[in-house]
Amino acid sequence: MADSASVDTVNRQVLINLGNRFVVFGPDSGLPEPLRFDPENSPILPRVAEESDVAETRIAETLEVSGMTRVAPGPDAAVNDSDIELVDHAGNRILIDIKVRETDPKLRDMQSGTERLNRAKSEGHNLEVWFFNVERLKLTVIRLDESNLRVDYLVPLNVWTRTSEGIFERQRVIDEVDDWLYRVEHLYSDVRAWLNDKRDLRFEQTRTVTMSEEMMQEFAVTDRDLSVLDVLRDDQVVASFVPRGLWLIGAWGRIDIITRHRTWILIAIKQLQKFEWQLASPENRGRLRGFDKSALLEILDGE
Amino acid sequence: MSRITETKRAYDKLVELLDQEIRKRSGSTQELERFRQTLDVAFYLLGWGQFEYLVRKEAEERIEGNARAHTLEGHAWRYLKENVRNFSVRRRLDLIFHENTSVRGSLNKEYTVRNEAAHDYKLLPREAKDISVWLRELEDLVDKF
Repeated sequence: MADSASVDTVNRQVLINLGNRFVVFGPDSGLPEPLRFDPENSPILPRVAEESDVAETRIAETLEVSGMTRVAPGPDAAVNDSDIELVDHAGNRILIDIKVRETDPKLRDMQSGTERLNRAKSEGHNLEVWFFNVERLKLTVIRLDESNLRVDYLVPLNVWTRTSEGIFERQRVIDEVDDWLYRVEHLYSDVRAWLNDKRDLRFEQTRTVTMSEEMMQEFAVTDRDLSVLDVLRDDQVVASFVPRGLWLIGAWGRIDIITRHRTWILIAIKQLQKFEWQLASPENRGRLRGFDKSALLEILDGE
Repeated sequence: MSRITETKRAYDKLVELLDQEIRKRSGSTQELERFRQTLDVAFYLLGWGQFEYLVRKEAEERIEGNARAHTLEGHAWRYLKENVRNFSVRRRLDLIFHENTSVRGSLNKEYTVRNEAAHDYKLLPREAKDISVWLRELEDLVDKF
């Protein structure tokens, strides 16, 4: 085996398939590197009902590393009980032992991994242990640099799914979240304008709720804070606008309007590529009416 | 009035109380939202638990009724009756809702969500149904047994 000291472990990017999603992991710090893997080049794989059932197998089958080629595991791999073997253009070889978890590696994982690294090194093999956290999309790599233990934390740089209908990429989730934040702020702006002539009312927008929806977690999109709009009369809140969620069945977002007597439900409906806010009462959620100044004044009249 | 109706009433009341806590700004909004998510999981699972009991009883009644038949199928039903303990919830739902594929499909999906919440430490996905609406739908299904 060639000396592996020259293997680029700092800038490498790793592509895997988890079942339905493809994920590219890469370094968190340093200058941004161009993505080495293009969704257009990913294969269309059979979709699965539950990714966690197949993630380990799929990762082992599909793992690719930028600048390296997978080779048929040689005798070194069998000795070290590793899952795959990689070689770079200079002929440097690395054995990879893949561990798939739904959490970050625990202390005992790190200890047993370190023991394996030392044993492999004493036998003249270059082994790395890769811990995939498939729940939070993280990759922790432990390896030996000379005799020093190194731990690399790789983060998701891109996530996508590919089916015969096309590619659904992380950026689209980010765009939809941004659009949701914009629509919420736009609604608040309308509410302020509609109540502008009500001198006994004032507004506060100091509280937030965290947006952390499953779609965002699946595509490794960072949690976002959304403002709550409070409408006050004297020092009492007469209505709070609380964003509840974006991805809902049959709607493009929901905001609850909590008043003293009930919680009204505002849902966003998309018609002819335009969003409209529709109002429903908790007693009759199926009956919707457009949300405008008069609807808002009716709500507040009872307060 | 079934237990599911009582469960729905309790859920609606608790959500209302939490909403009022948010409006009155009497605690951290973020924390109150997390309470709401936990409340949703708890009542979703409670609703499922009560529904599963009624599904079990209904399926057993149907199996028992069919097992009385002196036909070839009667033997199969009697075999099923003897092994009813191994008859999974999904199978019981198939038996009860075999003529209504949309209800069966919907319950099948919901049962996966229920399993993830009960066994995989997950919160409910936001796109899951509104719990209050969901409990009412369960009640309607039970009424049609």
